[in-house]
Amino acid sequence: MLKCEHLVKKYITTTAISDLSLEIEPGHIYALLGPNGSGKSTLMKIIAGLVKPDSGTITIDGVPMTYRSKKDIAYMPTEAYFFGYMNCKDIGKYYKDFFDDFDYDKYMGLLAEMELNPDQKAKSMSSGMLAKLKIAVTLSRDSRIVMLDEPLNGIDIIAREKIISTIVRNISDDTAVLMSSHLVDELERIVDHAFFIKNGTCVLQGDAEELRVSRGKSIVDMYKEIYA
Amino acid sequence: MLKMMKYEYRRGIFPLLVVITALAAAELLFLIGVFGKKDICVGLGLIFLILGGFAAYLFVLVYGVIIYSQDLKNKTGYMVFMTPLSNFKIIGAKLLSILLTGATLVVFLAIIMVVDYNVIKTHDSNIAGMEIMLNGILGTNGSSLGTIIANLAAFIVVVLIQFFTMITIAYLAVSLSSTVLQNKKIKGVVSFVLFIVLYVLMSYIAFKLPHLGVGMQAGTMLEALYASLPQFALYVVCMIGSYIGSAVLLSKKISL
Repeated sequence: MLKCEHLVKKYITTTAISDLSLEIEPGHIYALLGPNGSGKSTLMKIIAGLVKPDSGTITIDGVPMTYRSKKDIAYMPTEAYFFGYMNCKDIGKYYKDFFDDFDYDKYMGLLAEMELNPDQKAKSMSSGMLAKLKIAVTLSRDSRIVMLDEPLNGIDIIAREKIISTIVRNISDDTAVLMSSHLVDELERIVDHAFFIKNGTCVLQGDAEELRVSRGKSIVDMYKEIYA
Repeated sequence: MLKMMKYEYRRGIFPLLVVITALAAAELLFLIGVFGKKDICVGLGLIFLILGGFAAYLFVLVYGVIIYSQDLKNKTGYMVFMTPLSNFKIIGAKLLSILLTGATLVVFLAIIMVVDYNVIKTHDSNIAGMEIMLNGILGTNGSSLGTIIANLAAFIVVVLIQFFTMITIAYLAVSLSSTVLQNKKIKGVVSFVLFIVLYVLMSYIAFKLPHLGVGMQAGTMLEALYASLPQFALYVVCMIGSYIGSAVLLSKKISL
């Protein structure tokens, strides 16, 4: 469904993405793995249309991406990005205004599930609350592609289990999920495919179970082997 | 696009309310002076209104450029640019919301000016006398107070258009800084210099362009605007060029 081919993105002194190619299909949860600065977030921003690559192509169902493709992509950045004046309700209305697939009732339900006050302003929230809010607003879209950049950042160990089950429960079978996290062991339980990103390029990828069998080790151990 | 305009206008509403509150305070001082016959309050109120009006207008318009710059540098830009809207629509919505905010302020100031003039004329018979006398003097030169007001109004319209063109050129400079110059260490300086150069060049060309109907007495605002038609056309061309340039730059090289 989504195909990235030979993507390159350079900044002043660094090459964030270097000849990176990958493909994702609906009905799968993909782990995007790598340490800080490996290029995971840049790749997600490129797919979300927030960063233009210097070269390379991205297609969805064989059609090159345009601004219209953004209606098929629900992207959750790792940083807080809401307008200062907005409370949770305002954020929901904003998404409803711009995304036809946004379900406001589902959003209010997720806010309640995550014990967030709909009238609270985003700028007055703790990092943990903001992380939950970002997940709630992103999962309330019924998009073909869902990208979650470090969804467990700022969430305490007790709440992580709940967040992971919320993510898995709220994803439909025809959705492709791309998820990055430093907490590889938390992801290992739910992903069925892994991309290992190093220095902006994909050094290993494959079906999670096949990788485990062929290499005789867990995804966590493969992560340690590649990045240690 | 209208939805984006709504949110952009909403983002700028707080500074606009602060500005309008400050101007309302100056207006209150002026009215206290008129009704309480305190000349010092009238004088101070007028000074604050005139200076405050200019400063407020400048602030509101510059604030629009700051918001755009922040969107391209800070994470709030994700909120704007992750929507399935073209960059033409996003930048158009931003510029139109600035125009709307500026228009709100101009309408507010115009109402204050008309009300204050009539209030002061009612309470000070000298003003009404001076108006008749001034009209008489101007009449001997084939002019009138109405002509001067028409020319002044046309001048304000041209200045506003010129100022709005400056905003679009600033948008172009900010867009350049965040796109083709994003990997340059002195991108801020380069884009600022480019903004100054473009604006000075535009102003120079406008200065060199002829005025239509030289020697003609403009009796209405439209007649006065007709005289500045070449400059007006230049500003519109620059405005549209900067708008298209900004949108194309973002489409080709956006990097949030």
